[in-house]
Amino acid sequence: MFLFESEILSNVRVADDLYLLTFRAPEIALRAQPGQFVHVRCNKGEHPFLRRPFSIYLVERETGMVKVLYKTVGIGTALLAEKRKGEQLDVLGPLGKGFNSKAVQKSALLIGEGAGLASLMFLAEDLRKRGVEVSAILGGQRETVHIGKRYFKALGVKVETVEGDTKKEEYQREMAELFREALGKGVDRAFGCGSNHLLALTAHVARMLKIPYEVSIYQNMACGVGACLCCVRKIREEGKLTYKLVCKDGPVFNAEEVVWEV
Amino acid sequence: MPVLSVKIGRMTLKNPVMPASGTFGYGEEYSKLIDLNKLGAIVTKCVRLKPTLGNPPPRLAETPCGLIASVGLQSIGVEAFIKEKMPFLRRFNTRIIANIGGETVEEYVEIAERLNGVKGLDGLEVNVSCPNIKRGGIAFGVDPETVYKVVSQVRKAAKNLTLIVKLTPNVTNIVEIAEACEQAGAEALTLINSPLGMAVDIEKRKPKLSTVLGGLCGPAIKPIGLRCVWQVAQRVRIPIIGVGGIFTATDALEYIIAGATAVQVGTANFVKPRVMLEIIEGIEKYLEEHEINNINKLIGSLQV
Repeated sequence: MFLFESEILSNVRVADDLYLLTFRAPEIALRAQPGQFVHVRCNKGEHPFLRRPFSIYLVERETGMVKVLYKTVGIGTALLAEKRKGEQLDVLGPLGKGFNSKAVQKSALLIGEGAGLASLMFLAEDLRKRGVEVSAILGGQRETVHIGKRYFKALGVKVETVEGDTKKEEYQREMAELFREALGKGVDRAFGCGSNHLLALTAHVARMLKIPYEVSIYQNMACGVGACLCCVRKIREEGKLTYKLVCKDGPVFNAEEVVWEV
Repeated sequence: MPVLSVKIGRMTLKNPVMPASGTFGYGEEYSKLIDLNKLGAIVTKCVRLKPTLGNPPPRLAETPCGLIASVGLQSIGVEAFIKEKMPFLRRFNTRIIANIGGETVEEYVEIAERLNGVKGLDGLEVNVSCPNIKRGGIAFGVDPETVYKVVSQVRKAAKNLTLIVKLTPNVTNIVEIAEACEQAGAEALTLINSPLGMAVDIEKRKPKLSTVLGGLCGPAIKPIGLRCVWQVAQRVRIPIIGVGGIFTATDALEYIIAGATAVQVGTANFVKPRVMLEIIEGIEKYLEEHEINNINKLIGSLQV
């Protein structure tokens, strides 16, 4: 875990309300694992003052570059979108427990929705480097899905997409159906990141087909390091209900253990 | 170099800066980012008698210049605290204060008895002010007679430890609660725990916290904290530890001038993990610039 002022190398809008931020943070680039996150101070003033957690989108270990793909959803991310090349960025990371990509031998399936793409790209790259066959299902707004497809294809990932309103039942049914079909073809392990709705639906499918499924989940976060105990989610562990910290025990959990309250 | 050392009960602190309970865990996480030896003291997450799960999510919502939180005194329990956390904490050259909470007077007493004499532990901060648990907590801190009962019993149960009581601002008259604590044998007071607040999600028409109400923290509450410290400082002789919205050395100095002997830093740790060290340096610089050779000369120096 490192805390420092890093230099912003670029911060550009790539699709819809999606931005790609690149900053120099060699310590983070060197140690980060797919699924981990950075905790960023978007504002030096008193409102809003909490850091915002972002999945690490990609790193370049040689040059020390770290990339974050984020969606503007509130004041914090809107202020982040205003930051320009050359400005300083207060970053804490890498934090949290990432994906268990080592558990994959031959093939993996990724399912992402909207900005959920942000935590899967690093994983896809890692898996492809190890010769794993990767396929992906991407859903969300047209521009977002389109750019995700382009990036994934460049890594040699087979991509299927669903464009639409993520809140609509039709969209959700289509995503779950594609997921069921892809799992049916047989994969070692699946990985997901997206809305609670999508993750709950797909978790159910994976459990039925008995395929290990890891999901990156979200909760409002304060400290990001496991000290304040604010970011809990309900988890079933060995049959017992408990609360686990998204920042420290997660953000990646076995989908089967998460108690979905949607 | 000005003297920064202050006394809280029987404890001498190398400087007046420490974390607020519940914002710093047991120091382990932040020890990777700051040197804990430099702190005046470490105040632990609330220790309860038995392991406690705490409140369901969501526990946090950001509000203007603050946040509301409702963790609900999630605790690993007193035995795990002694066995798993104290060996780490006692390695540091600083004072260790355990914050304790319970649902009954007997529970407070039992925890205090168990902690009395634990190697490396210097003080107890009795939490009679948690706004986020259904039974106990704040219920003890809003009535002078009840608070007197808890504090005097804990006093008897933990004779070897400096006894601090942390009070809630959610009362009509905080001075009478503070006076009851002093009479019951408290050696210091921590002011304030978080005032109750609320936030609403207008799309879902639901409260943003699972418990509806939560404790308001951050810069938004500094004026309330200062008010409480100043009011109580006029009426009690025991030292006061000021807490509420301290983000900078200036904030800490405001509390000290208003009557606080020491200060606790809470929410600011989440944003700036090295903030307590900055505050210590800032206080020292202020004293030098104002040619004050000892911080004790500054405490309660407010000219009204």
